[in-house]
Amino acid sequence: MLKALLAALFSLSASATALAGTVRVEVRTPSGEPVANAVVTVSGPASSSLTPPRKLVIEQKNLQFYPFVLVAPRGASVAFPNLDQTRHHVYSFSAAGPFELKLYGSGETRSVRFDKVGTVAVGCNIHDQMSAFIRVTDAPWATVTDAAGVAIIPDVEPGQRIIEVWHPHQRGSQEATLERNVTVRDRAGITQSFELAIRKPLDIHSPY
Amino acid sequence: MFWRLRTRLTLLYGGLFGLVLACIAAFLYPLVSAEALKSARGQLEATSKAFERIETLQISQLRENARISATDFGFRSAVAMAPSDPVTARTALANLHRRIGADIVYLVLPDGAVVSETTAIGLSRELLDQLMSGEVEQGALVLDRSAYRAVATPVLAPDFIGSLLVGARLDDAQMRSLASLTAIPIEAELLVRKGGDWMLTARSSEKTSGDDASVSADEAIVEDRLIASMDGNDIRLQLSFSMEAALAPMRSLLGILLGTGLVGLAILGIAAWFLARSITRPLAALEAATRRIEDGDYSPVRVESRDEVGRLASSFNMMVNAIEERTRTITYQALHDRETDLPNREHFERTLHEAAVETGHIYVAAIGIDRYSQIRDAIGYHNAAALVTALGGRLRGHDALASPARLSGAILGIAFAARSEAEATLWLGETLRALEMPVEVASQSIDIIAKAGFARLSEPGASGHNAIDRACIALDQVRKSHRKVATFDSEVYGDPVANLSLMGDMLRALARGDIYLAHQPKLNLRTGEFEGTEALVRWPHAERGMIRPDVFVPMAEETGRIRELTEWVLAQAVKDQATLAAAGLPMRVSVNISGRLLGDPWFEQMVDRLAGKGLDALCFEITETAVMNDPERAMTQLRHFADRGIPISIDDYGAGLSSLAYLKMMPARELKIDRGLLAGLAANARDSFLLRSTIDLGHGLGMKVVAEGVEDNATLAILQGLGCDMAQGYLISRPVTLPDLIRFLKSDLPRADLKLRASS
Repeated sequence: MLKALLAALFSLSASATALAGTVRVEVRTPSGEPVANAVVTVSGPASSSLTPPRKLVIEQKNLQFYPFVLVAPRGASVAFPNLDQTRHHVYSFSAAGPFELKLYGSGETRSVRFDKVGTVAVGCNIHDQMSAFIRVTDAPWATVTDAAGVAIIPDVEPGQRIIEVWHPHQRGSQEATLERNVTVRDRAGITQSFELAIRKPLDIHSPY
Repeated sequence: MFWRLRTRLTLLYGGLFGLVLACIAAFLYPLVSAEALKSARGQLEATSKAFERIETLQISQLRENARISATDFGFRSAVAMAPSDPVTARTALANLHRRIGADIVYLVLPDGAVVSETTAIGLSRELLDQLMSGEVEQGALVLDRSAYRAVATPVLAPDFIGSLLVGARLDDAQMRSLASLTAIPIEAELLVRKGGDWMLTARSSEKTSGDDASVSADEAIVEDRLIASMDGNDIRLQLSFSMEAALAPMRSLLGILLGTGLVGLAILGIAAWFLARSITRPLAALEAATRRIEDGDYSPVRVESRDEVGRLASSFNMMVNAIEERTRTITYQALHDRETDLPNREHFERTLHEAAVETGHIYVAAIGIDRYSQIRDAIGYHNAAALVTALGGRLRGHDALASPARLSGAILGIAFAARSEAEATLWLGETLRALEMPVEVASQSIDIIAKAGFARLSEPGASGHNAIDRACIALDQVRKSHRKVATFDSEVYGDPVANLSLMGDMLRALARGDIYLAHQPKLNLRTGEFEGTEALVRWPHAERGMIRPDVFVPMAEETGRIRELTEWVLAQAVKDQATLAAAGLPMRVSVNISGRLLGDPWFEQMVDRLAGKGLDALCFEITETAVMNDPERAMTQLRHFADRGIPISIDDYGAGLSSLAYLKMMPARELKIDRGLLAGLAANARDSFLLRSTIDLGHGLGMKVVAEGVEDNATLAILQGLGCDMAQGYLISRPVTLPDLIRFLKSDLPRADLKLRASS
């Protein structure tokens, strides 16, 4: 549903330009398994910027955050509706956007605006297993891979573009991205494959 | 000491007990020591396991503390702010340190920055890399020679923002508490490998840590446990228990064993000593009794117990009684004559021995019953014995000093006191008269004749013969001299012992050539020629002077040496005959042959052997009585010699018993008249008649007649007148040596003189 939303969002801008191509990105691990929740961004011309989204949401439901990964344009606000029966204490210590939403109850919603580019790791203070990431970006086109590790970005303005791939559990530096220069042509689609090594998420409750 | 049964028994018991103890000790020692070591090893293993349990507990405690801290919101926010606000992070760590009481607390940020309040020591690169990635770690850790038990936990917010490392030091106190878990005093040590060597970092004992403390397996039982480390260092827990301490209980056990053993040994030794003594005491009594029996004391052993030894003593007493009884019987039999039950010679000698001590004037008499064998043959052995018994009884009636004893079959011995020899003779004469009263035996009256020889019991100079011997010899002398009673005559008896040695001297003299033949020529009374000689053996003894043939020849006959003597005489006679012949005096040499040799096959063989060697030039002179022992064999042999060409001459004819029957049978060519027939020849016409008859008898039997012992001219004349063929005697020539004989025969003077006389 979120993807459909995003796709609709980007198609609006694409239709405005009328001239556009489609970028298809497949992300797999070195052993060939599809990588879901990878953030794929395509850079635009220096002048262009991502259209501010209308509304971005990370729900708390069944003691989990949904979606796990959210791409947000800089300056966007993200809503954190609590759909559980329990209270949540949502916070982030990430430099890109630290915030703290102290305990709030079922049916309530809080919103946070992110004005810095970067990764915001979101957790709940009273439920350690709840985790989500907000990737704040300036890129005009961006999306998240589906369960098959595929991200399709339509209506990309032709020209020299940089595709970047990032994942919260990627090995190595947390801020690094996989980058590739590609040329996008009008009414043409390109498909790019990325290999990304993924680690198991750390868990403080592991039996160790 | 060891030949005493008591000592041996005691030592045996003691030795056996000691051996058993030693066996038990030898059996127990490895068992107990193995058990002690096993128990110690078990304790060490248990401690090692306990250490593992403690480790698990401590780690989980550390982990819990770390985890709780790492999830603390405030702490997490401090960690998140660490890059920008390190002071807050550091104080937060210090707070945590105090709160959980850890020895070390480290915070490692994802970019490798390390925040710590507890120690300035840096973590290893490898560990740092792991902590930077937030991986969960636990295990031992070595920091500057000290070992820690540590746990690392990631700090998540909710993403990884750093690793928290907390640890507790493994120090001496920990080792001590570990060591105190066991009942036995063990040593717990923690070792870290630095380079190739193990280095001690903590230990339970009081000694200062830091020394190298590798323990050899010889000195201690060691249990090692490698401790999992998170930083790649080798850490080892070493639990040791000294062998000496492990074996200590066993040593005390052995000590107890030894102690009880020694006490037991002492008790046993004393008990064995008393037991052995109870056994050996009666045995010693028995032993003493056997010694007493040796000395003739047959008193019984006192029997005290009813056991084997007691029964042995009873049997011993019974045996002693039997031996005593038997000894008495044997002694009686040894001292008494079986036939007559009179004391025997042995008994008599003993009695005399005792009597000799009392008084010096004691005489011993041997009383002989004449013709005892004839009486015995007539009345039987049994009755003869009864006769002797009766005579013994009569003698007992006389006041004899010792019981009359039977010295031999027909001789009874008595001892009596007398002041002189004459009194003794008188006393004995009376005794004999009393003894000669007729004796009733088997309701027959028997007359006996008794004679007595006597000797003084301790006669001076009569050594070598005891009184009984002398009395017996005296009896022989009495019988020979046809008297009734006489004492021992040592002069008549001579010296038999010296005579016995004479035979040895004789053989040596024969071998040396001391003995020679003397020759006495025979004169033919018809022709006045010397026709032969009689060879007479002569023995000049170096010490005793000339020994007469009638001394040593009878002795040679008695002892059998007559063979050697005769053989030598024959050989010498043959040589002398040859010498005479060589000197131009061929004549027959006569040799006297002992009657003992007649009938002796040895003699015949010897004669046969010498027959071809000039023996036929000899003449054998044999007395008539010599033939009478075994006439048949003697005659056969004489005939055999005659057949071999050896003339036989009858010697000493008329001296003893003469038998015309034998004279007739003898193949003799010559008859030599005994000198006894010549005595008083000149005066007595009756003798002259007997001589004439004898000469005629010889001539009648075809023999030449030779007269011996011619000492005067008158006799020679008579002999010539009676037709005697030849004469021999001092008148003509004494027996002389061979050279003298030759000289005599060659000189004309004596011969002319004799011829003259002969012819006159």
